[in-house]
Amino acid sequence: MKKTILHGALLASLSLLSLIFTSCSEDEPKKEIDRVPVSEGFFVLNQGNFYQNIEGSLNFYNPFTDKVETNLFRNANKRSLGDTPQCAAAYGSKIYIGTYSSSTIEILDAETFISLKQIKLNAGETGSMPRSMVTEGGKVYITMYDGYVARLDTVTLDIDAKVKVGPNPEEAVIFRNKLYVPNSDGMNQEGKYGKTASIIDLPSFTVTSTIEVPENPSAFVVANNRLFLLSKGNYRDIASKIYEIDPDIVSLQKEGKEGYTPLVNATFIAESPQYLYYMDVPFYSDTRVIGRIDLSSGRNETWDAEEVEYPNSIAVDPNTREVIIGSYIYDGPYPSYIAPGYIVRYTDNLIYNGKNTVGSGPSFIFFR
Amino acid sequence: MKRLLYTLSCVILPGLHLYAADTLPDSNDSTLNYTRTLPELNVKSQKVEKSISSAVPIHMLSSKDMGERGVSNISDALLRLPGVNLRDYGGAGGLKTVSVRGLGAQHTGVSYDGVMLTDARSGEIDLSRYSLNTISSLSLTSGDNSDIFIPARNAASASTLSLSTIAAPEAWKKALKGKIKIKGGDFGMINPSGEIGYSNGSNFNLNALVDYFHAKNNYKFLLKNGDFSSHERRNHSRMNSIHTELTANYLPTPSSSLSGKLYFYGNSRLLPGPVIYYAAEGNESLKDRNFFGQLKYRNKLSSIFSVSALGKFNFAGNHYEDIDGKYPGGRLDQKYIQREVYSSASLLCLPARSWAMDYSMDWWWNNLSSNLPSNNHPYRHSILQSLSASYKKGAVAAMVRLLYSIYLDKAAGQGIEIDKRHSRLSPAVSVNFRPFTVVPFYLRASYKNIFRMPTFNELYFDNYGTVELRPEITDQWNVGMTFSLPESYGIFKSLDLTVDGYLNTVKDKIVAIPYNLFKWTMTNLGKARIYGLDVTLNTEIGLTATQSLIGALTYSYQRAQPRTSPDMIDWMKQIAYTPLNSGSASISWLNPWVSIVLSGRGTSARYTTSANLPSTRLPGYAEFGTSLFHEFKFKAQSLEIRAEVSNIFNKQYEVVARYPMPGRAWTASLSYSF
Repeated sequence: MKKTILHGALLASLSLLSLIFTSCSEDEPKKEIDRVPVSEGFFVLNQGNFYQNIEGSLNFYNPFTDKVETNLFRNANKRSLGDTPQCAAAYGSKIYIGTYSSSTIEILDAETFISLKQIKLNAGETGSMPRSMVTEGGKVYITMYDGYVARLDTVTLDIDAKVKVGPNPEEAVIFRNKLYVPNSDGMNQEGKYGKTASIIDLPSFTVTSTIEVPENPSAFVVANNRLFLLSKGNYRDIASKIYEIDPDIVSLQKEGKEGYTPLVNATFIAESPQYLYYMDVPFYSDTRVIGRIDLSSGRNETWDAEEVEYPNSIAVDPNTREVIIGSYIYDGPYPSYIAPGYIVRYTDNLIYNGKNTVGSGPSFIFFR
Repeated sequence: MKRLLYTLSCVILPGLHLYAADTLPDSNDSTLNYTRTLPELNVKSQKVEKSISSAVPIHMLSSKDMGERGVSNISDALLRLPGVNLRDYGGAGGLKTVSVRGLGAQHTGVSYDGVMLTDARSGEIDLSRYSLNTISSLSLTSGDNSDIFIPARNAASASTLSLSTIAAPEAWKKALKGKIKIKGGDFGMINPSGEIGYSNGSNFNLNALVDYFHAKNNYKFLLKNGDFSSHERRNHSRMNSIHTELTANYLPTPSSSLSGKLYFYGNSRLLPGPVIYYAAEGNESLKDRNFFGQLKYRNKLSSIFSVSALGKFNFAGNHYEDIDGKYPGGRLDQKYIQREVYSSASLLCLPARSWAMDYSMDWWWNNLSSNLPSNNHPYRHSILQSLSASYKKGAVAAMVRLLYSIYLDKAAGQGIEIDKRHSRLSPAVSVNFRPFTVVPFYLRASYKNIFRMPTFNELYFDNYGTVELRPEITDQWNVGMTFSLPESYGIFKSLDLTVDGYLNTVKDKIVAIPYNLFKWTMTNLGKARIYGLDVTLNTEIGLTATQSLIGALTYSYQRAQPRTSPDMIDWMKQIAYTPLNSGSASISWLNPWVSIVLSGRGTSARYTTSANLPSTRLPGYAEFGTSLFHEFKFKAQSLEIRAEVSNIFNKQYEVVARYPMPGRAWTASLSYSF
């Protein structure tokens, strides 16, 4: 989600539908937000739960009908999207979806959702188990949980190169023309997680440096031309936190400095041009904080978000600045990992703006 | 004969009624003294008497029954028993665990020749390792054990599956007996086995067996995916196992017996894993090694007192490997070693004709070590004592047992230090009543309160276990009736009917709570209520002097409701993987030429989620099989040829979602006995 926002904003063009929406909203006197750019809607990727035989699915929130269109992939292709889809990107005229358990990349037509190609990832050749996608310069960069970043060419629709990074890379981002890849080492059985991130030069597609970062790095994010990192700690005594990464971290670390500063405790992160959004819902704890940091003033503000039961994903609409949170439902005292989840929308002013049911396990929200 | 049995059960209580234990065919020691005085008793009449006259539901299958009913393997055998819910992960190498009457597999105790087995790590016994080649009978008891002269531990499970191995020839008949069998079939299955028994004719016998099994299990299945379907194959399901045993029985005096057993089992298998859309099969494998040695001693000291004792040492190693780039170094390598030392002593007292009492005390020790960094070396002392009394006079038989259990757990490592104690008193009572002397018609009722300890996995597994867990407690109520034809009636040579209704409740049910999709922990959250009905009907119809029809039918209705909280989405739905209706039927035409069996079994639809989400419905299925066999006899020798086709209609179904079951397959076997 995070990476696609900038591109989404660039790609945002007024469609026929959005014109209709504008005219609709003019008919309604109570709407006063017509100065705000209209939403083009967004996609929700539901990871399902293959342990209990629930496949993944692709949903689309249509702002004009205020309805969620379900099972887009299955309806268009008459087959399953696969198990545990966790990352996606809309780029150009296509949508790219990575399924973690099935280890495929589905390339869809962005309008019809018909699959143009399914790439079955092969551990030896392409890396496997995709976790995140970043698009840039006609390429899709995909982090693979078995320790690679693969590069997909959007013309040939083939994976044309891969580069080895650290173990279990998670959500990467492009910052100043370099790809920052957090090496979480999340499968480490020692209970000691990764402490490095790989920096990849895009033109040469090689790892140019590896930096030291706080334990269990899980997501890089760029907001307002600043670089942030969510490191999830060890689920015990080291808390999950967001850090700001100094753009010169490589040279700083050569001088023996850390090159990063902690910002706030958090387990989820999302960005808009003005704010860094976060949610802190750590395991082994009743803590639950949802908030945002104003990137110009540094002000930290939280809100109740009481409509959200147990959040699992967050993103900000690049057009409307609306905050969208994907949530599980509570089933008794614990979240249900099988029941359909839902999404809640908040305006830029953090006012509740609606709630819709989606598929089971809304794990990723992304925009055209 | 029947009359004799009846008087017998009134007069010499320990004879069959109390003793026969779950080890009837293990007669060399448990019923030794009594069968010696009653040589005309045969296995068949004992079995009928037992399942009909027991105050708690017991369902048995002898190897003869299994042969006659075309039972082809252990899972098939279990599915011929009522109230059983078998989790079958497919094929001969797939893990198989059994839960009874909605209580979860960890409540099913498994005894092997009368001695309980443990897996302290998972709490479940994988039944796929037991081959019917080496089993002389299996029986399933729901509720309390119907015998009193047993180790306390044999009464410590909600239901007990008892497996008895092939018995050696009786000690007092000098003989050398043996059997060689070779079995082969589809999916690369080859299964040679053999056994040999020797008796010195006075007080010693020895039995050795070996069973080797190899199967590729590379069966085809149909993968449905939306509007598409494709023919796929399980390619990562190979199993290679060997099982060998040596059993010796010795009678130091006419009233005492000593028996010992050495057991080894080794298995190396590839685990196919669930079918994941578009993905190739995984690279998981599992190696099991199990060795145990045990000694049992029994002595009838006088007409009033008998004692028994046993000692056992058990070693079990499991090595799980998964080769996958996501792991550090590209592989996950988990080794577990469990050890158990077990001892038990029982004292039986027959103070008066109608009374029998028993005091038994068991102590055992389990530990678990592993190569995991989170290894915290848990170990557990278990001290169980039981006091039981049995009364039988005239038409009424009753039994009461009090079981007092103490479990002491210790573990240290990874910054945790555990020293815990659980103790609990568990009562059980059962009564039956035979209103008419002439007809074996019984009314029975029973109650049992028992619990299961949390397993080492549930307690101590990193990122999963919760050291605060309490035991999971069950209450079982049963009422039923049984009927048996006292003698041949028209064409019916025999007819046995059992009907039981039950109500089970579970408190402090241990359930897995996800932190997220991949990290789980355990908690005592759940409650459940299960009620149901089990019916069995077995009959033999004589056609001519040499031909007969044997029919067997089971039907189970099981309503298993999660009842944790009305706020939860599974409230009063049906527990995952529990069919409302299930059953089995077989009809066999036994004749001097080629005997034929047709059998079928099936279940109604199930859900993979206890919330019963519509998308998680698994359709019901029925599977049918057929067997043909013929036995050539030359004096004491015999040669049996048998051919079987399972799943004759090639039905594609799943017992566990994403684990497709094999389609049509044949097997053939040749066995020679002398």
